[in-house]
Amino acid sequence: MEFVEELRLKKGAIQENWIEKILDSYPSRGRDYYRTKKDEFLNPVGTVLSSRAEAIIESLLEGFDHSVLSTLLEDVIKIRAVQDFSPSQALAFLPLLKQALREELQTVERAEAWPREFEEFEARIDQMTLLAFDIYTGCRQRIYELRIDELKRLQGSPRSRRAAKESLNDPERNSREAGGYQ
Amino acid sequence: MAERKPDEMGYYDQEELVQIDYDPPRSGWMDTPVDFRPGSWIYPGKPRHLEYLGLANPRQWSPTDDDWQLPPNWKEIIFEGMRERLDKYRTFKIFMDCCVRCGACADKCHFFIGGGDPKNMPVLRAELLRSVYRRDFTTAGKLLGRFAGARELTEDVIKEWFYYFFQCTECRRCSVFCPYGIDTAEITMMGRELLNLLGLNVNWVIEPVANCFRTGNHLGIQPHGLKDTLEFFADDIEEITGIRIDPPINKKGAEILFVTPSGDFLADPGTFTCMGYMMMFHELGIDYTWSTYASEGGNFGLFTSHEMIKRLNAKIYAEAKRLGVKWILGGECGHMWRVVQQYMDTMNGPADFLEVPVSPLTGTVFENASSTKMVHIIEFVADAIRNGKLKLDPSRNDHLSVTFHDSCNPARAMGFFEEPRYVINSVCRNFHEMPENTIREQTFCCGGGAGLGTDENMEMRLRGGLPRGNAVRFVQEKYGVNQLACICAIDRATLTTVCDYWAPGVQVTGIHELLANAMVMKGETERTLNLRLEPLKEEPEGDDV
Repeated sequence: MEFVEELRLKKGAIQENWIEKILDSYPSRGRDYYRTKKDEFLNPVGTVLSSRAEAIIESLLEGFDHSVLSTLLEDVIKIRAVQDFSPSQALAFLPLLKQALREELQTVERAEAWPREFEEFEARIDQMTLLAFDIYTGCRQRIYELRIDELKRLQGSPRSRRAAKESLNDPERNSREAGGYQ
Repeated sequence: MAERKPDEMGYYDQEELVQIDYDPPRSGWMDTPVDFRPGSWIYPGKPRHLEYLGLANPRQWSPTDDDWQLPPNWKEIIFEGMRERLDKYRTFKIFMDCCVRCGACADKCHFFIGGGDPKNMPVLRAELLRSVYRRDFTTAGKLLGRFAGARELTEDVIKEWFYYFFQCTECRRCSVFCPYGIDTAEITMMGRELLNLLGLNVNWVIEPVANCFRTGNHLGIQPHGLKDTLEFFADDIEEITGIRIDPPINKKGAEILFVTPSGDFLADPGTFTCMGYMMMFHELGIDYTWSTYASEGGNFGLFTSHEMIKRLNAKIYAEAKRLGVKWILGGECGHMWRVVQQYMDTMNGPADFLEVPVSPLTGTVFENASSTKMVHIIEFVADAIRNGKLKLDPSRNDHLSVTFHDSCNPARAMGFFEEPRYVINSVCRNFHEMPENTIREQTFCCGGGAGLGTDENMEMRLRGGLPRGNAVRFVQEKYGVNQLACICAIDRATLTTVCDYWAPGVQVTGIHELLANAMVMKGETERTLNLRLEPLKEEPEGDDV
């Protein structure tokens, strides 16, 4: 059997293993909720993680489609970039795919059977991890841009706003404080 | 790290890979102290604002300090504060006792859904307070300690309260599902009241409160500033419609006093909503007035203490009395209506010196406001539209595909669902609802209410805004929605950011902005600009000249 065929055969198990590993990064009550609640609107985190994990594996089996993988990764990383994770924790789910892969293939000792194919597949995961790094930093940058945008909406030029601001005559007040309490 | 090569099993073991900690804490919730990560907490209140308001323990401090400079007798203060409130507020006593931990609320909080932190489950957030209550106010807790869910009050517990009670937006989505009717927002309110006794509060709340106490609005806009602001709005309106509006300010003897959140004076896109009010009032020709003293519909006292709600809210009635108006009309705001609907009447009312509100246009009596004498502007305008008092051209909004976010407080504190939808459907022709379990009484919060709408806790806000943003993205992809309408000033500010992150391309608007763009005013020139001063029609593409 070819390596890719073997992977396809084991895809369900690898995917399940990987998703469990990803979910393990959350506190137990959160993890249970993300795992069990199937409604995409009540559980966006769990449903996005599992659906994108499945699609990522599917895509990797086909090769390395930069744009497809970018979109899929962005959906996941966007979430993890605002959760309680350090950068390394946020992206740790990607190398964990390697672990899931090895655990699931180990039973039939296939990893050793196709050293080259195996290495190639893992190289795709490495490549994806680097891509994820770009996406993560993009998300974090976006968060800071959003903070600036909020201030700009308060500090912009329309004349109607200027008048209100001019009357804020507290000498201690700095520009950051000058607005935004609705 | 064990010596392994990359092609060996175990090389990628969780424990060894880059030696990071993948695992969340495995200790019990009572023993897991708070980690104050940047992005998840809010700057503390500045001493000068506390001093201005006469609040306890004004000082410079930061949540990341080891020593929070609590008063020496801080424990005594908290216990005394709890005792006093348990006696004074029957709801607090009941809510401390009657939870059976059924878990119905557990998965309803947007912060829990977005981040998975169990202490954001409303039941556990309440347990932070209940555990202390049990140990010192119940016999079972005194005798059995932890077996009865009781724990000692320590400085770490206070830090935990500060962290989590300022991670609750008091949106009350969880309360909808509680079979005992526990109003979890009131538990947060009590938690914050107790924290305030030690001088623990956030600047995003306490500065607006101080401003409002001094000038009448959260932003601290003084009378001349407000007058100029409204006149500049009038300039923009004149540019758009050719009609000059002269906004009445502090007009004694006017029939109606109009009060709106001050965010509408300063922050886009609320400013466009404010222009919409002015145009609507002008077109209907009603006898109303703005006030430069009661110039705030919102009430950040709600996020501080009951006493503070009362102090700020009293200004509205005092001004209504001074001006001699008949009744009060309130603008598009969220928590303002929680205050008006559920606290104002017993705190500062009944407002017997005012009259039961009657629409001067249609004769409709607003019996629901017969005690508070304060009517929501959407009810008022829905009644006007229903009775044919406004000429509308909804085709002007044809470039918009609109969805409606039920703002938490009008939805859950007022049961206010149909009127906003009626007005939206009257002024635009492409309206699409978000999924059923994310709207109406089950609506998801913006993640920035109850004084959380600042920028230093942006990660937390975006985490909390995920369920809402996710539903917006769904209608964006399915129906091409590009406009999110709402009737809350905090929403207008914070959902703009939530959409920019979770559903980029969707803009946020107040309903009166949509209305004013569709409204055909008597004597107006042909409209070429919308309220944002953007061209109404795309310029035809062609050769450059």
